[in-house]
Amino acid sequence: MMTTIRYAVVVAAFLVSSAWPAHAAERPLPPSVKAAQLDKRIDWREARLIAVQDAGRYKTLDSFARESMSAMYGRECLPGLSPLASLLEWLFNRPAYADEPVVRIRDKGLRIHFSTHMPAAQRQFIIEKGYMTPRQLSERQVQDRMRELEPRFEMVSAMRRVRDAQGVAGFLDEMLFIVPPATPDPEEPWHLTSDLIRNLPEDLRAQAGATIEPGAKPVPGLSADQAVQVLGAWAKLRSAWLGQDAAGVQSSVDRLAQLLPTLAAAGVYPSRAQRSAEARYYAMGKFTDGWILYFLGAIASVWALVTRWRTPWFIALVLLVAAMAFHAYGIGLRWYILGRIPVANMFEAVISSAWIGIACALIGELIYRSRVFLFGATVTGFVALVLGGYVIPGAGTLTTIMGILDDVMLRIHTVLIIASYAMIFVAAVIAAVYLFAYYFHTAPFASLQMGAATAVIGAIIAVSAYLVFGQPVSGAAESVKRPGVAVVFWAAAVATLLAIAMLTWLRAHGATIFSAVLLLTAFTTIAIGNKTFVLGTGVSLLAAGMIWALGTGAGLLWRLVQGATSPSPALAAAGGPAMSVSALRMARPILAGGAPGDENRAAALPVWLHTVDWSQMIMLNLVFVLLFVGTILGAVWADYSWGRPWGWDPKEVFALNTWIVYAILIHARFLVKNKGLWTAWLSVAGCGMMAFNWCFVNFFIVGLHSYA
Amino acid sequence: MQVNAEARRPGGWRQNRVVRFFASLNTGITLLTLVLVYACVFSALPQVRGAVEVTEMQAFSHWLFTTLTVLLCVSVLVATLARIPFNLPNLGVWTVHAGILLLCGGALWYFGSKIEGDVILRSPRLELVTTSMGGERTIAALLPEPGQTWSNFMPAFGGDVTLEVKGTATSAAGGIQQATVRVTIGSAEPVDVSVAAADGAATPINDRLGLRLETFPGERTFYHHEHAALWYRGSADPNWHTSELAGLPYFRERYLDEGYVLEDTAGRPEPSKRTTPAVTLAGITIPTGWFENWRLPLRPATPGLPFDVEITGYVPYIGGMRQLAVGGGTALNPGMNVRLAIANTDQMIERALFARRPSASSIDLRSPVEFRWVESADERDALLAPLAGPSELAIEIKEPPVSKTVVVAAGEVIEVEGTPYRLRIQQIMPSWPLISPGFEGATSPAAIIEVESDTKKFTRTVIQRYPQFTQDIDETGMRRKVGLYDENIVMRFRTAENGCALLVGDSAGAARGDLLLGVFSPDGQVETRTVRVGDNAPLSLGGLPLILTVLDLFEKAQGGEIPVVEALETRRPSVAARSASAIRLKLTGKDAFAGWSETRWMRFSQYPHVDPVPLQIRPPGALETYELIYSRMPHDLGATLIPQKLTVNFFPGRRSVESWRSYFRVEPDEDEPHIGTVYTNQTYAVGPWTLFQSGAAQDHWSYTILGVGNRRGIWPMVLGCTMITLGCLWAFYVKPALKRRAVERVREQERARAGHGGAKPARADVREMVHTG
Repeated sequence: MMTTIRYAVVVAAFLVSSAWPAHAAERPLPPSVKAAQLDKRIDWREARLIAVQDAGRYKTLDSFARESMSAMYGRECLPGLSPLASLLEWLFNRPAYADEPVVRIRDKGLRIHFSTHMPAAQRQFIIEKGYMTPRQLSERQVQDRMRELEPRFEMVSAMRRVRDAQGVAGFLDEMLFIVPPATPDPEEPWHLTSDLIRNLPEDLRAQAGATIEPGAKPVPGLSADQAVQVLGAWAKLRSAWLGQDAAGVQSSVDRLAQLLPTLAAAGVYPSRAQRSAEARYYAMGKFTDGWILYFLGAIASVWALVTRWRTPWFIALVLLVAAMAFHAYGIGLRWYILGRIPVANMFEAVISSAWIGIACALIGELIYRSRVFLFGATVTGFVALVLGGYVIPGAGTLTTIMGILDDVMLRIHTVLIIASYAMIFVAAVIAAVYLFAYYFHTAPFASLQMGAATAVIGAIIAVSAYLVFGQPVSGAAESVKRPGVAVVFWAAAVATLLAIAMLTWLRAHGATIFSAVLLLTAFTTIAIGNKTFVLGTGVSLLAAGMIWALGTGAGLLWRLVQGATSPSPALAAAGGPAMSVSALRMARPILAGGAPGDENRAAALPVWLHTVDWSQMIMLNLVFVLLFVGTILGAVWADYSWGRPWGWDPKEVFALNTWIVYAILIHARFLVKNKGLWTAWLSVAGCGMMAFNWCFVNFFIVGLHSYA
Repeated sequence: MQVNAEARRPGGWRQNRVVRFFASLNTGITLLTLVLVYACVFSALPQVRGAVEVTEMQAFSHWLFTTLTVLLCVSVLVATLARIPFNLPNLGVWTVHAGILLLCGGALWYFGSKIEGDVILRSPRLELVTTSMGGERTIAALLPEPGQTWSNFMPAFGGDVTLEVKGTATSAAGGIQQATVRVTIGSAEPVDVSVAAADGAATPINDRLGLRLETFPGERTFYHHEHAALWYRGSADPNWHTSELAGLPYFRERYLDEGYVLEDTAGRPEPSKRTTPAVTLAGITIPTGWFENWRLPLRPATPGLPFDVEITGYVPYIGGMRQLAVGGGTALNPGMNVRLAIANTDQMIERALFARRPSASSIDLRSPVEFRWVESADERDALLAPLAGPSELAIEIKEPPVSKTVVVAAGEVIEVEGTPYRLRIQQIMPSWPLISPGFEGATSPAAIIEVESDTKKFTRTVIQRYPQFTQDIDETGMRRKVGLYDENIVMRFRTAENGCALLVGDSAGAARGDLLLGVFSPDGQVETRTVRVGDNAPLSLGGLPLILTVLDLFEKAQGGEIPVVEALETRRPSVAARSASAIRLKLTGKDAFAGWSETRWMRFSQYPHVDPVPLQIRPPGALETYELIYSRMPHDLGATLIPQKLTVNFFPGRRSVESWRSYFRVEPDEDEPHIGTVYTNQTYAVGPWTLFQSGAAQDHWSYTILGVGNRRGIWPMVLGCTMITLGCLWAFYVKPALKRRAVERVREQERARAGHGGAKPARADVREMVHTG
């Protein structure tokens, strides 16, 4: 046993290390070649801890560099350069990049809008790669187009991103507020190094050839000597950087790192510990890479779930605990840096809620050892960290919190709500396992067909996303649908429908109806959606269908093979050892609640299916209470914040709707014969309602919670 | 939950059909599902709310949702009584269901009596004004509070101008009465200026700058968020009267057909949506007024007005107002829509011109295009007569009688032969702005002439288009507002220095659809021709090749301003539809004014006393002007609120605000005055109303907006929620334990009866069953 564990741990460690995103050496852009060489010779440890006042908070120079480069280039650094080297290169050597494609245009529609007047090769490059040069961005045609598009509401976010990129590209040196004031007020604006010119005596200014605007006031509280020191170090840094003088750069940045904190009044400059924590947090990719551990844990938990062996269960448990520790460290670090519980925006809510949900599932697993908790926990962790690292806008950038959200009751409300959301997701994963297992047990071949049909339809949609929406159209218009092609694909949909019907009509009419509904729904997405949406739908269906079909197929094979060699796993797969109804009732966990279960059907359903049903009920009972209490505490907060506990805001309504789905679920268990199955479907529906509330309502429906 | 009522007690009231229906789980789940569907549709689909004109609050106060909620409550109540035995294990579900009934009851009470609105409290302000341009123009403003400073580099006023409030004097009620301000201009010695609130006019600092202290009365009225109202009064009435516009649409453009279609800011037509609550399916019209609450036209009660008011149109999200002449008027009001385009370019403007509305009678480009209406051929000929030169002055002296027309230019001196008059043309103004009532916004060429005679020396402003406003300023500098200083000399001024065009219409021409176009060249010569409606008339004006097209011509026009709808793609959902809306009023005279009718569009005013956009109506022959404002329903606060101070917390760098805090003095009707504060996450109660921080000025001091709302029914809801939570915990976690204990006890007893003594068997453990690996 121990040997197996050791092997498993070694394999897991290898997989983790190989899958870890390696920062492979990239080829620098032509103007960056010398800077890349210089970068390698600089020790940035002190420089990255210089504090910057930006976007309403204090951050490290390292964070500022990463966020600025992300805004402009779409990544935290220029190719082949570290974030700080990228920052200095852009500050001091910007003209060299005038014709380099360094301004990222994330939105494909805008790429087309901005490149219509350009030669075909340039246009193609911009549309495909999404990068423009600063010179191209400042062209009159592009600026005119921007002015035209800016007032359009649907363009607000996209244009804000472009303006941010443009701001960094053109005015980065006017954003770097690193000179603290000598006043003790933490709200007091910080200053640019260039502001210190106003503190210089007139003769020194004349000597340096610097001029100031009439009426410009000196930076209060700073002496001419201090101004000279900072300006001197900054000027030396500039000349050393441009002159490839590593020693000069090193001494200048170290001097600035040592000098700038001494200018501030006591208590104004952020503590070194806090700055170090922030630098560490960013350097570790905001800890979203922990998804790899969760992913490996999910694989191990599937292994444990299917075989019910202890070894993979233990491996999955170890991986889960390791992932949780890594995850928790990231949350804790963020909490420490921000000085508040990190539940204020989408990234923080997803990351933190997932951890709470996972912790609950882990406790469930340790108590009941049903395997599905483990699987639910690892999948939840994996999905949350992938969302946080790759999908959620802003990618976890540290931000301030609106004053109104800085409230104890609101924090409790938020924690309860998001914890319940995470548990809803865990419950939905368990429900998916139940559905898979139920159909595998009761109608494996029809289930296989359903999975295959879903995958086929997903593939059709994914391919059609490319064909129907076509290549980018020249001119100002964005990609347009071609009605003729759409008609062809509707015909293809009907043909596929007939094919599926032929395959399944003798087997299971349910599968036929399911396929038909799925197909028509999917093709409707082509009719009403855009390319990204259709492609996303197609890929999702393809992946889900494949997993379902392959899982069912593998299960059938497993049952076939193991049935011939070992009675125990086969027995488990076929339904486990038989139990009497009364024994099964006694086995039902107390936490599974007072609603009736399927124990009366002990003979029809395997024990492990009951276990999965109980597991989902354990989560759903908790969800029902937590979601209600969380929603009510939100109302309490709203009442004392603005005298109105409930305003029928979409977010509130959909929180209520989610609770109503679970109320229906609980009552349905008293009504229907197939209680576990109905519960699983309604649990998935509740998760859909939650996801709609969290994603669609937050981002697409204007309401009081639009900032959430 | 034990669902076994029949077995428990057959017959009786539980067998009643109605009871069985409501006690059915199917009914309960169906009602829950219906509530869910309703909530999803009306919350997630603003299009649906827009189509039926309900806000979120109204959607969930609608009778249909209320009915569903009541039915659900009945179902819960009946099912609990009929199907769930009241015992210890079921205590949880009884508590939950009782909690739901309390929650729903409290919610019905709460939302049934909910009133929400806001009140604006304006801080007193100290204004720096310039008096060098005739009137008082505000340059800057600051809070009159000791220590407040303002500074700006203004070379035109002598360099750095710095204001520092040194002290204030307040009344017993806490309002600021006087402020002392230290003013430093350039390198001059600072001076202390004392400004009193009662002064009204600015207290001079020097000959060009002044200070004014403006204070505002306390507020005891707040304005409803959703209920619109028509405010009206006669000019002799100091009090406003209000009439609620119940049923006014909210989200969609709805206007009855009056012969035109509105356009959006992108120039696309924005036709009206449905104007009656009904839908047409397959040619069949189904009335939906039983569900939809909006109506058109609306006829608000306006007692005291000499005309009836009818709301015939509503437009949310207006992007501006545009002049448009339309037919259908009942009195002479010549109007035309005209397009002026620069030849061979796509640059053009479209305007509505009304000959009898001074502010809308001309297009004031460098070379103006003016619309005039004449009653006779003589009048027409006089208008289109060529000038003696680029500018001419017709002089008529009564004693000795002299009449002559001379060519004039700025700086020129004219000796009127045979008279003691000596005239000097001080200035020729191509576009003199008029400020007389009824002529606001109108402009005209004018000549400022210094007149000297044996007995008098004065300055006369001779206005070309409106000679009735010619004015004299006498030797003492006094402006003669009534009559001329010297009635013996009459002057008429005309100029064509930059070229101009006159469109001259009359009744006969309007009937034919044409009018005369006179194009004056800078030398005063005129070229006259007939222009028909729809024709493109090329002309050269100020050296610019133009094409003039008369689009419409009406002798009895109406309309005036019509809204331009904000294009869909540029609308901001954060801007409430109502706050950017306009309504169309059809005013029909009654009694002495019967037969008179007029249609006007009117913009929404958020606060009728702060940003009013009043419509001034004077029926023909009326002695009084009536003012109308389209705003919100007022509610009495029961106390007067007087602003004290607004403070702001910033994020580091002071570039964005973290939170606001408003201090105000509360003067209740039946209580002692006291100081109240609202801030982020902190409300303040004034009688039945709860105040909260709702908005604040961008400058962080000049005003604060407090949200106001009542909150009846809170405590039943709180109790209900607590009961639901406790009941759930009991039902989920206590009841199973009780049930298991009961089963084990029964088994124990059975085992004892069967004679199987010995140790209690271990409870089956799910872990043992699943660990087969």
